[in-house]
Parts: sequence; structure tokens; C-alpha cells
Amino acid sequence: MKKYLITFENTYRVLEAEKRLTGVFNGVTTIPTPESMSTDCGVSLSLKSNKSRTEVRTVLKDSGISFSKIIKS
Amino acid sequence: MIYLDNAATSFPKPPGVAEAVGEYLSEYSVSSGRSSYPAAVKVSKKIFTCRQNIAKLFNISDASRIVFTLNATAALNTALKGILRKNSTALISSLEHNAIARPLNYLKETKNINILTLKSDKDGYIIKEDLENKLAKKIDIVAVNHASNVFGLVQDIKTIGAICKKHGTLFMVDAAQTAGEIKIDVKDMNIDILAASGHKGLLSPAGVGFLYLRKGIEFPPLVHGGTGSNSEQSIQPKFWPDKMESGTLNIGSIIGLEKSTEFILKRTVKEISEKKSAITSYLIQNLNQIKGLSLYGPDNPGPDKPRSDKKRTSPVSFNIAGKTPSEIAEILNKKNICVRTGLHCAPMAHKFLKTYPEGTVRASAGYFTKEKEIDRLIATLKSI
Repeated sequence: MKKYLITFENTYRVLEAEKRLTGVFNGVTTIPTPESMSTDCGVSLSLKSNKSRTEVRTVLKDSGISFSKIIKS
Repeated sequence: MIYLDNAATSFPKPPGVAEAVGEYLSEYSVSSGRSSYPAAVKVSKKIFTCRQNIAKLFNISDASRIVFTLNATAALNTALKGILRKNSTALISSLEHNAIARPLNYLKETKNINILTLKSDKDGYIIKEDLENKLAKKIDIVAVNHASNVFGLVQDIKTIGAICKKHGTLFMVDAAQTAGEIKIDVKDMNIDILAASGHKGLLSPAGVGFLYLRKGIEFPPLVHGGTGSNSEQSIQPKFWPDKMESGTLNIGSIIGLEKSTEFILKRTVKEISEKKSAITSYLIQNLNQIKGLSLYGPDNPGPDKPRSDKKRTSPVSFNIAGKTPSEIAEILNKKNICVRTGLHCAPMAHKFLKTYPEGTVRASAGYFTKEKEIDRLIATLKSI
């Protein structure tokens, strides 16, 4: 199972995504944003999935989630 | 204490509100939206849930368009000062609170805006034909007090919203006296901008209110600064709610509002409306038995009837012949019966009622007010 890190412009969007994605992906949880990945906000979302990054991106977009980046970690 | 000043601030608060605020202050009193440690995320989640609760209560699709403010006054100031430009025109009712009248008059002095006042019928309801006529010319915003904080008259905002939509005019509702007490649906009522305080009908501690702005309405915030986001940039972020929320929020009060809105969602606005209508009816019926007492405003409180032209909410104003409002207050104070006297920050409404400048005595029951408390007020007034 692959692990992804998703960054957002603000904490509101992180928590909105966490609410919508819990149950859709495994291990959905908030984590500190590594400085190297984003300066957007201090919290990011971590999740696990067998899907590719493109597929994860599609699920997020279809769920109406506004995010900055998806990084495979 | 017999508390009948719920139009100023609701008291008591629902069960669990004080405990939630106390727990925050003693167990995890940290900032929100800036850090990733567990307590910070917990606080951010409480604020997120509070926004979601408000969105549910007012049928708002995107909770990020709900901005926390100090109170309804701050929310109204943000909107009016953000939207109105030099020579703009604002259209208001004849019953506005100073929270609308004062920022508008400030803008009149500083930006030469025009303030037009809608004609009212003998009871105080906006005359729809006058609204239609005035909207034939360019109006930048229609700003209306949903319910009078002086005598409880509730405007028919659904019809007003529909007329504003037809003319393509921004419609702002000051819901300070109705949020949490009367059903408000921003979509059904075509409300573009909604302002309310938390500490009245939404039953939270003081120090928090909110401003909702429909998607597409953009203007600069009143306050710029740190948001916990886009920190590498020296300019304000453009995304919501950060754009409009700089600096640390009043987290304790927002946590109280999260708990109180949870209570309202469980009890439902309908049940709260019916209960407050019943106790207000009881108050009015008993006040009407007192010799020499003049009661102001609609005398037919009832459950929320969205299409009714004759609605009222809980503030009840009266005077007693031969006594000034302050003399009545002095007698009630000695019995620890809490009412508010004077002009209630709404001289326009008092001029309409012809109770200016002395004002009235205002008794406003709340969700938790009991009939026996009203009985104590009535017995004391009868003894005057």
C-alpha cells in the first residue's frame, strides 16, 4: 500500500478533506507539513492507498476537495 | 435572579457550554490553524465543526464562506465598509439598529454614500411596493434588520430577498435577534450576506459572531495580518476563511458556540421558536392585564410562519403611565428582575414608535425562561 502526503492552502481545507476522505482511504490522518514540501500551512493529510497518484488525484477532485499538492512518500 | 434581557445576551447557556469552554481553558488552551501538535489540531477541529454547525443551521453550502467576527456589529461593519465605495447607495429599513445606522452614517461622512430609508406600514413592516420602486434606481446594498431588537417585529425577508434578487441587488440581513430563534435559509430567502452574534439566540458566550458572504462576493477585509497560511508572503491570502480572519480567534467563545449550535441543531430551531413564542405570548398576555401599561409592536406571537406578514420574536417593549423607564427599572432591579430600559441602541425604532428619546422598558424571554419568572415580573409591575 502506498502512502501519500497531501498539502493544502489552509487548515480549514485539511480538516474538510479529512472529514470527506475518512472511510474512502486508509489511515487518513493529519500530520505536520515538512518544510520542504509546502509553506502553505502547518498541517497536511496523510493517507494510504493502492491507487496511483493520478487515481488519488481524481478521487480528490471528484470529491470536490481543494488541495495544493499530492506527494507519494 | 430573574433574567429577562435575552435580547441583549442569552442567559443561561445550554448544558455543556460552560463545561466545554472551561475544559478548553484548563486542558488545551492553544492556538488554532497554525501548528500540527495534537492540541492545536483538536482546537482547529472544534472551530471547523463550529463552522459546519453554522452552515447546517442556515443552509450554507460552503462553510469556508463563514467568517468569525467579534460580534454581529463587527460583521456588519466588515460588510458595509468593504462593499460601499464613494457615492454608493445603501437602502435600509426604518427600524435599524445602530450597528447598521452608525457605520452607514460614518460612510456618509467619509465617502459621501447615500442612505435611503424604506417606507414602513403602521406596524413597521417594510412596504414591498416602496422597495420595488427604490430598486428601480441603482442601489448597492439593501441592509435589513430581520427583527427589531426593540419590539420584536420580524420583517418578511423571504419576500424582500426575492425582490432584491429580481433587481440584482445585494441583500444583507442583520440576524442578531433571530439567528437560532427563527429559521433562516440563505438559499430559500436569497440572502447574499448574513450577520449574527453568537451570544444572543445562538446561545454562546459573548465575543464571537459571524459573517456569511455568498460565493462571488469579494472585498478587502477590515483587518490584515497573520493567518497561519501563506506565511512566506507579505500580502493577505485570497482564499477563505483566511482572507477575512487575521490574528488569533476568540477560541474559547467559538468552542462555546460549537457546543451551543450543537444543542440548537439537536433541539431544532422549530422547537426553540415554538417555545420562545409560547413564553413570549404568555408575557404579552399578562402585560396586557396591567392597568396603564402601553405595549408596543405586534401582539400576535406565534410559531415561525415564513410567509406570514405578521410575525414577531421575543423582545417586548412597554411603558407604564406616570413612570419613566428608568424608574421602572429601579423597582425591578431591587427585586433582581433584569430588563433593559432606554433606547436599546436603536433610536430609529424608537422614533418610529414615538418613544424617543425616553425609550421603553424591554423584557425579553429566552429559551430557558419559565412562566413563574414571568409571574414575578408581572406581580412586581402590578404593585407599581
